[in-house]
Amino acid sequence: MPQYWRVAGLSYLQYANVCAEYVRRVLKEPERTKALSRAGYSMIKATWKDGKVASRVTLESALLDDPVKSISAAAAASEKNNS
Amino acid sequence: MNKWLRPALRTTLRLWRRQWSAEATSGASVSTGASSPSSEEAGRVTLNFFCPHQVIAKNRQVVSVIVPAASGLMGILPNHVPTVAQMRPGVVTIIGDGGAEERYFVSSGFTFVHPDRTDICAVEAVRVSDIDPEEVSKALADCEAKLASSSSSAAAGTAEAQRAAVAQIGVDVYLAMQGVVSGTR
Repeated sequence: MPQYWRVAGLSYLQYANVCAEYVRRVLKEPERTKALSRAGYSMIKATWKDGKVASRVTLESALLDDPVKSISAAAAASEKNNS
Repeated sequence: MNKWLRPALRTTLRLWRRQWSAEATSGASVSTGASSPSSEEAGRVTLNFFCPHQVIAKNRQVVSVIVPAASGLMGILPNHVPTVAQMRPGVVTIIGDGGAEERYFVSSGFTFVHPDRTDICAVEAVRVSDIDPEEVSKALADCEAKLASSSSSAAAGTAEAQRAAVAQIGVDVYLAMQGVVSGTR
């Protein structure tokens, strides 16, 4: 039987990252600050055409605050990559 | 039980016991057939415990390890059958000499039991003593509220379903944590 998060459309990587983020948020100081500071990441994916940026997608690690936004951005980026 | 069956069974048992002790003294691994290195022979588990950002244990010799496998708690002793287990959010207990325990909360990850060593890979692993119990109950209440407010009938794969799943993951993580930090073990 597939797990509920997979049914909802999350990948294992997304599931694992969400779990880790929840763990980081309830640590005592100073461990909490340390953990949260290494957790964040962002990525800009740009497609270049004729020396100029044709399209630009920013990926953020804000899975918990707005999981849907970051997941759909990732999906859009991979779609662009494939086409 | 039949009269003739009982002696036969006793003989089988005796043979099996002899076989067992022979293997125990020679140190051969029953499960793999491969010759395991001296550490496993000496009755110790060779443990590696890694996070992306930290090495918690490297080639450490321990008595046993208990990991929170997705299918239930799994105790690993020397010469455990090789296996791969997905972990759920829970506590990894490392038991050293004299029963000294070290406890880490892992978010998720995998445990690989090899014939000669055990590898635990987790995204986040923190000492249980570093968890703030008050924050856990607050976060649990928050996730439960989010889960209750999202509609349960959302179609799979939609934004609403994903939001509900993320809230559900939070409930899972914090329920596991609450059981640990509230002292019930």
